[in-house]
Formats: sequence, structure tokens, C-alpha cells
Amino acid sequence: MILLTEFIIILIAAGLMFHAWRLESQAYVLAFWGGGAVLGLLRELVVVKFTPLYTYGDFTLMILGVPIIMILFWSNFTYIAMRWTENILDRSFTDSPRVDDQLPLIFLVMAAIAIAVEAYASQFGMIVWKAEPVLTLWGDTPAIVPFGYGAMGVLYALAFRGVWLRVAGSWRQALLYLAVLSPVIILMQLGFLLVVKVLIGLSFSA
Amino acid sequence: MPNRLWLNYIPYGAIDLILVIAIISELVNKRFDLLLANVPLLGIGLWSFSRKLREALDDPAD
Repeated sequence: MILLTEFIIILIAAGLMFHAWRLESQAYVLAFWGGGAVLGLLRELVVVKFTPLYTYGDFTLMILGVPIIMILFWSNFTYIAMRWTENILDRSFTDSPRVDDQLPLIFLVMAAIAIAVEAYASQFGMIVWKAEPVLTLWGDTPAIVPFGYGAMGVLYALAFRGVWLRVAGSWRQALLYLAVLSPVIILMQLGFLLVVKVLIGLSFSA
Repeated sequence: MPNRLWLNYIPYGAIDLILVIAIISELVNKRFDLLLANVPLLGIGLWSFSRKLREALDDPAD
């Protein structure tokens, strides 16, 4: 089942790339999925090696010890969250002069994706949680996880928008800027998760 | 219009595919407790897609 899931995530990535290519451009696809791949790879290397949060199940397709689906993960789901939000508000995320009302919706969509995806993954041991959380959701997923997805979606969408508006369609420049920004995004997400974890601990521990 | 509509459906179809696999596996594994985890995503998806669908049907250019 893990192999089937890997295949499905790759298939979804291909479909979403086709969608972005038709609506935007080839450079947009290269910048968005390239930047997301750098971010995903770096984040997994940092989180798995340096934090006691989780390890992986028996994935087949790996790069540097990181499952390929984790590398496609943030681009795929952030792209979906951006498009769903654009359709709800009837306004482009990348080209709109103000996006403050779109960010909570991106966060919400990402959190909903987290709840469903983690519940599904829990059946097959795709992610093995090492932390002992105070509060859990379906499939014994720690309650901080939807916040992690939400924060990452918002941060990556904002970073991509900021970079894309400056590089005038150059995917190489965009990729370079996003690679430089990736450690900052990861630190901000982990910092946000720490705050959420403390708040949940204070609110729900006996 | 059908081609444009299919193109617009891709970001929803991706999640539909995940949800279908998730729901089937949860039913097969008798993990009925996990089914509720799919409801928030299904709700937001329907909200978003219904707005897109209405816009597409109202737009004569489509």
C-alpha cells in the first residue's frame, strides 16, 4: 500500500504540474516544484536527523534517505491550497496586490489536508511518531501536525509569491532564491510548532 | 467548456483521488473511526469547487 501511495503522489504531482503549466508557464512549474523539492528535502533531513518527532515507514523510492513523496509533498499540497483559496475568493494569489485574507484559507486547507492524509497514513505506518503528544487526532497523529502543515503552506506560498514577483519569469533565479530562503522557512515553521506545542501542553496537560 | 472545466477540476481531482483511496482503505481495514478525518477536507473542497463551477458556468467565454 505504501508503494501505491508513492505512485499516486507522483501521479498527482504530474497532474498538478500540467495544470500549472497550462494556467501559468513552464518556468512557473520548474520554480514552484523545484523550490518545493529543495524545501522538502532539506526539511526532512533536518527534522528526521535533528528532532525527535518521527521516522519513516518502509518507503521504496528514496533520495538521501528521504522518501520521494516527501520531496513532492509541500509543492503538491501548497499548490492545491493556493488554487482552492483562489477559487473561493475569486482572486489570483500570485498576482493579487494583497493576500492577507488568502493566508488563513491556505492555512485552513493545509490543516484539513493534514488531518485526512495523516489518518490515512497511520493505517500503514508510513510515519512513525516518536514524540508522546498530550493531545492526538485521528490515527494518533499529534495535534500539532495540522498546524505544521498550515504554517508550511502559508510560508512556502508567501515565499514563492515574493520571489516570483521579483524574478520576472526566470525559474533559475526563483529556484536560487527559494533555495536560500528554505532554511529560514524551516526554522520559522519549527519555531511556530514549538509555540503551538507549548500552548497545547499548557491547555491540555493534567 | 468541458476541457476548461476538466482543467479546473485537476486540483480537486488530486484530493478526490486521495480521499477515495483513504476511504476505501479505511472501510476495508474496518477503521471506521478514521472516516471522520476526511470530512473537513471534503467540506472545504466542495465549498471551493462549487464557487469555481458556478463562475465557470456563468462565464460565456468558457
